[in-house]
Amino acid sequence: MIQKKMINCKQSTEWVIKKEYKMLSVKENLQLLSHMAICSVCRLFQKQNSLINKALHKSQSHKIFQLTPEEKILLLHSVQNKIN
Amino acid sequence: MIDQDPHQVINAWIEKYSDTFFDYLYKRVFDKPAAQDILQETFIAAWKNSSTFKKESNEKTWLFSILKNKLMDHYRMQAKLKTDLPDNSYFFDDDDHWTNTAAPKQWEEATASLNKKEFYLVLAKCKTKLNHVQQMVFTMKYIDEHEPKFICKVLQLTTSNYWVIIHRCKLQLRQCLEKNRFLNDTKKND
Repeated sequence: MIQKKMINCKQSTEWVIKKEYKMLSVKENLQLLSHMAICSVCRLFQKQNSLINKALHKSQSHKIFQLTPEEKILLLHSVQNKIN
Repeated sequence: MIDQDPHQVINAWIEKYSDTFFDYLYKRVFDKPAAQDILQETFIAAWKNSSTFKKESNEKTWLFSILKNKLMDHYRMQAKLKTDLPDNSYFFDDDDHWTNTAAPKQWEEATASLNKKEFYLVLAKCKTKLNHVQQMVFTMKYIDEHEPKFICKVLQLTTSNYWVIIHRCKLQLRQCLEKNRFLNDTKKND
């Protein structure tokens, strides 16, 4: 019943991302799995993709950007000018 | 609040919150002047609307909600500047299989790098290389975890364009991380 149609790497990488939303149909899921079974490069992409997602999520807790004291003074002055 | 000296009130806000707020904004707009502008707009709006602040509520939460509105306004304005949809031919050949240059390579000590500050600096740098629509879509999805429907509405995108953009962002970001973080210097030839 299920038509066996192989998907390519472009499609498979797009579906890896769509899968994060659980937006694949049963058929698409099977097609993705059968592509992954034969394509080591896309398997690597999938693995690295989930690592990137973890990193993106974690990156919020790393405070890396700050204003200098001078920039804070400038900010104070320009806010004051605009409210007067 | 309105009968207080504006200098004192605003100075106190800046002292207490500007670091957190600026970091939050910078990670979302990837542009220092833009982040500074939004921060400034936030404090101005907060001062003008200080009558809406209820004593029993939390000052930081209140300011933060104003800041988020200002950020959405910024996204809406930016969305009007249309950019062309990306072309994926660098990543995939005519049969839509990986090209040799773009195919993922093994990453060394990939999991361990999640705990290193250096990795996050590379990640931030790689994000600045995305174009502005890509950056917005990407931030709204992966940092703020908004639903695709909401993102498409704010940025006036069709669903199919949304997926094209997200897909391309991931390919590009992955490639950039690989080049700048995970490959040995000896393997770099550019």
